[in-house]
Amino acid sequence: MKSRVRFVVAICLAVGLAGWLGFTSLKGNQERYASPGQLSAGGTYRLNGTVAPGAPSDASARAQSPDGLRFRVLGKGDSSQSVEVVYRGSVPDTFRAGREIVVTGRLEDGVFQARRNSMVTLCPSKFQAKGDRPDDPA
Amino acid sequence: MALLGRATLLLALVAAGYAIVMALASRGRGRRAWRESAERAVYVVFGLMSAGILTMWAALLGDAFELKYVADYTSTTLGWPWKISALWASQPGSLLLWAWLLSAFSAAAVRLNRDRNRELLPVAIAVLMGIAVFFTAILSFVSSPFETLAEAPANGQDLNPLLQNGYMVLHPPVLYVGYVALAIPFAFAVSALATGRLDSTWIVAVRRWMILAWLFLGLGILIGARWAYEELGWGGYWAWDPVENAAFMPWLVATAFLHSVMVQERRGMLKVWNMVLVILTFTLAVFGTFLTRSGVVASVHAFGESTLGPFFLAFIALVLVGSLGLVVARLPQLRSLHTLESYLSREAVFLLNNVLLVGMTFAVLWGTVYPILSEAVRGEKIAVGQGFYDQIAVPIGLALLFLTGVGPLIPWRKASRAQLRRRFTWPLAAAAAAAPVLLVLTPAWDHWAVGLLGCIGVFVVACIAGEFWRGTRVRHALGGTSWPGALVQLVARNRRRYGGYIVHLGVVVLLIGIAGSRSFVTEGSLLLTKGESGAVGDRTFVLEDTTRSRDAHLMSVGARVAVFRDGEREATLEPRRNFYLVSQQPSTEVAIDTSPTRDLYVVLASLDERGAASIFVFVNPLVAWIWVAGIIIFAGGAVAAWPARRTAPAPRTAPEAAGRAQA
Repeated sequence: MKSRVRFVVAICLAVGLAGWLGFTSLKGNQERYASPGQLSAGGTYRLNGTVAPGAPSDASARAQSPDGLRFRVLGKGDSSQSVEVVYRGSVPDTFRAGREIVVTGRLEDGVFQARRNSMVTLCPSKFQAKGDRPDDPA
Repeated sequence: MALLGRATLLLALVAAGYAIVMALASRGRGRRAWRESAERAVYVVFGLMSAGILTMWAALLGDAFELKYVADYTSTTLGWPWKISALWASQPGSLLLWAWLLSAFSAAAVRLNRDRNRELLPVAIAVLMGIAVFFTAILSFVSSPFETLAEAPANGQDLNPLLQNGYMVLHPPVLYVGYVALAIPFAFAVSALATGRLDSTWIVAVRRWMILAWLFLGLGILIGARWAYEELGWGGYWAWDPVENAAFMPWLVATAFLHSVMVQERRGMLKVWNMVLVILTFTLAVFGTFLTRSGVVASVHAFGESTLGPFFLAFIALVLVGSLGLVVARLPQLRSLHTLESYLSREAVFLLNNVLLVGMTFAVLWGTVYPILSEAVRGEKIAVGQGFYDQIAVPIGLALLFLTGVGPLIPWRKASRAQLRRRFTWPLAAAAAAAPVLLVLTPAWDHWAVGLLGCIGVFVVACIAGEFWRGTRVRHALGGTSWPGALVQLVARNRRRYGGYIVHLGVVVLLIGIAGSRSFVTEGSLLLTKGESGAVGDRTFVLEDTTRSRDAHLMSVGARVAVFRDGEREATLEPRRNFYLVSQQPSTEVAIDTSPTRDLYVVLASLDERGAASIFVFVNPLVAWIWVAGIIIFAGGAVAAWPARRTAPAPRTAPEAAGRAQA
């Protein structure tokens, strides 16, 4: 019986440790999904929206330059809200105006400062098979 | 063609349904004919699914653009290997692959078990064919690959350039072999529960399938990582993306099962736990397919939103509730034969290893579904960053690696002090000796986890080397064979054990590669015109030449970059940027120079009209060892899973002997 008690204690200890590890790790790493209108200074966000017209066509070169790639992100299906994004690092090949993207970062002085290499493009036209031609490279 | 394809799928659906009825009905006495009929129906399902998948391939290769799938994912100018791989470029096609693999594995399982496990087979057939019914029904009525267009276009829309890569041809099918092979252990587990034959027969029947599934899952994950590394151009290979996690989770649980199953074989313990692990692996495999295909979580790889979500959720719920319900019903028969005698025993180490692996799985699962949960509970979609996974993976990974060394050496039941001293003195001494060397030779001082990993790695290697040495010495002394002969004999006679050790060695190499390439990356960007040079770290990069070319399928620009270190030419790299004309999409083709110590990874971000190239450079240390580790692990797994040619003269335990005889 003694071994059973010890077993239960060991399991509880392991679960407790795991829970604590999970909780502390979770606390510091939360990233809220947000549209351009929902950003506020302070937290880390995963900004979700579409790339506004006028995004540079040499995006991937600019993202490697010291100034970074600057473009605007519009709300998905609501182009009245928008935010300027500064991004550095690798740009997915599918990046272009009109694409839906997710980019992680923080809002500083009204500009969304994206974390390096955090851009993900969502690619409906290709995977969802709507049959639409790819949009014009603006 | 569309008609033929749809017909084969519908017939397969009917045949699978027939197999279920026959298999379940055959359990009465004297119904041999029914059972044979069920088995033949399984072969028929395999035949029909093969016809279906071949029809699809014929359509893809023959540019049958009247099929929507063909028009969406290929074009006339696409090379034939990509046309074949277009089958798994999207949802309906990859589900077809899933279903076909399931039918193939079911047929193989029936064939391999034709002379044994008579009691288990009927219900296992019913379970497998039940899964087949689900997939063929989805393929027939919800997401058909044979959907036709009203008007066939002159050309298709081409395959996504990201998928026009050799690793992408391999990655999905290899991963799917792993996913789908998990269905066989699941089917036998459910069968054991349903029939009440809960001795270790079912475990013996599925052990090799589990190793196979585990092996291919791991290999698939690594090929995927390699694809991400070469194709996505951000210098990394793993980002804790939901879809990566989806493949990683069943692999973790399968790893746990492969260890805990030994405890059940040797000591008759952990029976409930093993059942739950098998059920969990299969559920996670289906969940992985669901996650990838349903678009619930935003991901680089996700296939867009689709209507499949509810069906998959219902199926997962059915699988979980049904099988866990069976476990609960059979709890009295799943009692352990023994209890844990000591914490210094192999079963205790395996138990801890299992707790860590399953804990890791739940952490990853938690992180993966966190956005869905937080949206449901708080109305806000909140994701967790990569930091969450790294913080959890590092301590658990280190602990697991340590156990990798301890587990195989510590005796069953109860270890005495003398045994521990005898077995672990040398490995610990080796690890202690390695510590100062590591600190002097590498920048591990700044990264305590990497330094610790190095020490534990040395400890594990020393433990395993000791095992090989002791075994070989005994065999050498006994048989009078040569040293290499003795080593080969040793491994050949105890495949599972020494195959496992080889896998452990591979894991050490893998973790060292991961630690090196994630902790010590040097990166920089350069803007160069022809003849100019720039520095990143202690290397100089010179743009020697630029090229432009164009053919029917793509436009391409390239740069030739020479790398100098200490005045000597180290490498010449030619990164390119392709522009696919049909899909109007650019594609980055990185250039990688690999050596044992580091990868030079160069991306051409752009080349403008004046000839100025924007180049991005990563120096990734030790990354090559990750792929080497993949080969070692695969080799070890193959040794462990390879059927022995004959029964070994002195099998250690009864189930072991049965396992050998199975071959």
